[in-house]
Amino acid sequence: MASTNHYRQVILRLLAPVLLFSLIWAGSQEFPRAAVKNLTGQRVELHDTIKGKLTLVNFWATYCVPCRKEMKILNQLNTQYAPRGFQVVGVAIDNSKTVGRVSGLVRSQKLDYQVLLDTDQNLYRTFNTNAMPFSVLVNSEGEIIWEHTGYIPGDEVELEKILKTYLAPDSTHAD
Amino acid sequence: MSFTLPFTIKTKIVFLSLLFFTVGVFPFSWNGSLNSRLGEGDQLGVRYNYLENFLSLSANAGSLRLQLELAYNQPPEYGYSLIGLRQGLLTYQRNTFTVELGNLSQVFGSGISLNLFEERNIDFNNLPVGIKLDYEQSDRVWWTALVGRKAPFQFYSPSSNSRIPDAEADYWLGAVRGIFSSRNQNLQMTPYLVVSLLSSPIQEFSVDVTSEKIVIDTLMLDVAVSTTGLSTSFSRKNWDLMLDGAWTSKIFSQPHGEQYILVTSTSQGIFTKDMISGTSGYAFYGRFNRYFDAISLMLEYKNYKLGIESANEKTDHFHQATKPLPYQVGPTGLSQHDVSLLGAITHPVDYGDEAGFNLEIRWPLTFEWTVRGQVSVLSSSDDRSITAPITDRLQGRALPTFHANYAPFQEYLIELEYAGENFATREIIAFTQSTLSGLTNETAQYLTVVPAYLTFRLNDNWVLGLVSELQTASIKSMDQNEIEIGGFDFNSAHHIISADYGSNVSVAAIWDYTNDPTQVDEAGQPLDNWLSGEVSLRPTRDIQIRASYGAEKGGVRCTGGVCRVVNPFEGTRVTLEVRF
Repeated sequence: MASTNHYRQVILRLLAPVLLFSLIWAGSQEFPRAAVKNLTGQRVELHDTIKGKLTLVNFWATYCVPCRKEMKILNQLNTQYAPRGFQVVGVAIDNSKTVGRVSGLVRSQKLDYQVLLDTDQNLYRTFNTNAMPFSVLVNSEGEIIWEHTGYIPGDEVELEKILKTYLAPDSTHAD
Repeated sequence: MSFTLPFTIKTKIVFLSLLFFTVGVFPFSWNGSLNSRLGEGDQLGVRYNYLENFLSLSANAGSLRLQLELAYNQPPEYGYSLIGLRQGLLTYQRNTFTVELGNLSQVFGSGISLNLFEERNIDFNNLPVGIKLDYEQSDRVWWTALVGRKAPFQFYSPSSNSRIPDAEADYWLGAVRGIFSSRNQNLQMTPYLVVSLLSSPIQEFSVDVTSEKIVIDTLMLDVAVSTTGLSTSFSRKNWDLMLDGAWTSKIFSQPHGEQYILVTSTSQGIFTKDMISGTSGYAFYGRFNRYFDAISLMLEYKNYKLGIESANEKTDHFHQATKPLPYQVGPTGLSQHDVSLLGAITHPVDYGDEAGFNLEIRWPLTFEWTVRGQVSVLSSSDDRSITAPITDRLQGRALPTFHANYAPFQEYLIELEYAGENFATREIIAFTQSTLSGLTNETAQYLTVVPAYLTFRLNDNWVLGLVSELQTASIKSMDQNEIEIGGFDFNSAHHIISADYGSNVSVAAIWDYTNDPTQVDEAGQPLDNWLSGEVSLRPTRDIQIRASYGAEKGGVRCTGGVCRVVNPFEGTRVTLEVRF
C-alpha cells in the first residue's frame, strides 16, 4: 500500500506541472496532418488542400442517414459562398466494405465539392469522436475554429451565421 | 475504491509526461474526449451491469502526433475488464515519410488479405501493436510496410453472448505493399505480401487407459501463413473497376485432423480423420461502377475460399487453423442496413467459403426524389450437408446457387427516398431468404416493409421523427430432399417516435414487437413486447448526456462484416460524452 501511494505521488507531482505547462503553451488546435485519397485512389495531403480558404471538413459515411440529408445543404452553401473564399471538403470514412458506394452516392447527389476517402480512418480518429456526421471549420491558416456533431434540419442556420462572421464581405449582394 | 497501477503503466505515464514536457517547448495543439457508459439491468433474468470509461487524447506538435486511449472498464459491456492504456499511436510525418508506432490500422486493397480495424460495440479488435512505415517514392509510387503482434486476439462466434470469448489466439504479422499508378492516374496496381504466425488453441480427445474415459486436452497449434495478392483499379470518367485477388498458404506445426467420439454398448473410442499438415485457399473480389449522368450502378462479385471446412470444423471454434485469419475481412457484398429489422437478419459473412454477387442501382429522379434498388445472392461453394472428409479444400462453385445444401442467401430491396426542405421520408420494401444448411435445412423468408422513416421540421426549433418497420417471416425446416418437415410463421414490428428541440434536447420512445415463438425468457415464457424511452441532452456543444430506460429486444448485431448476438437487455443505460 505504501509503495502504491508513493507511485501516485510521483505521478501527480510529475503530471500536474506538465499538464499545467502544456495548457499554458498549447496553442489553438491545428488541423492534423494525415494523408487521405481522392475518389480515383490518389494520395492527397488534405492539410495542403485546405490552406488559404475557409474550409468545412465534413466526415460522413454512405450508411449514415443524417449525413446524406446534410450533404444537400452543404452543397448549397459551397455554391453560395465559394466566391467569398469558402469551400466544403467531404471525407468519407467508409471502410473497405462499403467504400465502393461512395462514388455512386456522390454522383447521385450531384455534389460540387471535393470528396475524399479516409478508408483507414486515420484522420477521423485524430478527432476522438465516433459521431457522424462530424464537421470542423478550418480557417485559412489551418486552425480549427468551430466543430459540430450530428445533423438535424435547421443546424445549417448556425453554420451560416459563423460563415458570415469569418468570410470577406460580399461586394455584390447584401446579406 | 483503490487500485494499483502496474509497473508498465507507471513507466508509460512517466514516459508520456516527459514526452509532453518535451513537446511543450514547441507549439502544439491537443484535443480529447471522455466517453462514459453505464448500464444497470438484466439480461435473460441475470443481473448485467457495466461501467466503461474511455479517455481519448490527441496531441499534435509539428510533424509529431500522439494519440492515446485510456480505459477504466470494470466491468465492460463486452470483453475483459481493463484499467490502463487501451490503445496508443505515435505518428511522425515528414514530407514523404510517415512512421507509426503503436496500434496499427491498415487496409490492403479490398481487405480480403489485410484489414486491421476495430468495432468496439461488439468487442472486435484485430489491431496489432507494431511499427508501420509509409514512403511516397514519387507521385506514382507509394510503399507501405508494417510488422506487429496482436496478443491476445479474442474471438466470439456469432452465437456467443457473454463477456467470455470462445477462444483466444495471438499472431505476429508482417506485410508490405507497393502502389504503382499510371501517368494519368487512371490505373493503379497494388501487389502485396502478408506473412503471419498464428498460435491458437486446439482440443484433442484421447482415451485414458486407466479410467477408459474421454480426456480433452487443450494444446496450442502454430500456423505459418503467407498471402500474396494483387489489387488493381481502373478509373474512367463514366466507370471504374476494382479487382483484388489473393492466394493464402498455411503450414501447421503438427498434423491436425477432425476427431469424433464413437460410443458403443461396450466401449468408446476416438476416430480421427482428414489429417492435414497445411492448407491453401484464395479470395477474389471484383467491383464495377458505371455512371449514367446521375444514375449509378454497382456490381460486386466475390469468391471467398479462405477456409473451406467440414460441417464439424465449422462449429469447432478451437479449430482456427482451417479458418480465415482474423485480419482477412473483405467486403460483405451487402448493404450495411440502418433499418433495424433488416439489420437483424443480415447475413453473417463466411470468409472461408462463399460466392455471390450484389447489384445496386441508385437513381435520382429529381432533386428531392431518389430510387435505390438492390439484389444480393450468396451461397457457400461447397455442399454443407456432406459429412465425408474434405479431400480438396479448394473445391466448390464459382457462382452462387439456390440449393438448400449450400446455405443460400438472397435479398431484394427497393427504396424510395424523398428529401425536401422541411420534410424527408424513406419507403422500403425488401424480401430476404436465407437457409442454414446442415442435416436439417432451415429456410427463413422475411418480407420487410418500412412505410415510414420520416423527419418533419415543424419550425426553427422543433423536428419530429417517426420510424415504422413491419416484417412478416416464415421459417421452414426441410430434409435433404427439400421436403418440408416443420415450421412456423411470425410477425415483427419496430417503431420509434422522436422529437428534437434544436441540437439541445432529444426524446424518443422505442417499441419492438414480435410473436416469434423462439423468443422466450429464462422461464420459457414468450417474450413479445419491448418498450424503452431515451432522452438526450446537449447542455453545451461539447457535452452530451443520453439516458435510456426500458426493455431492448437484442438480436443479431452485424457491423462491418462482423456479427454477434446481443442479448435482450432490461434496465437503465446512461452515456456521457465530453469533448475538450
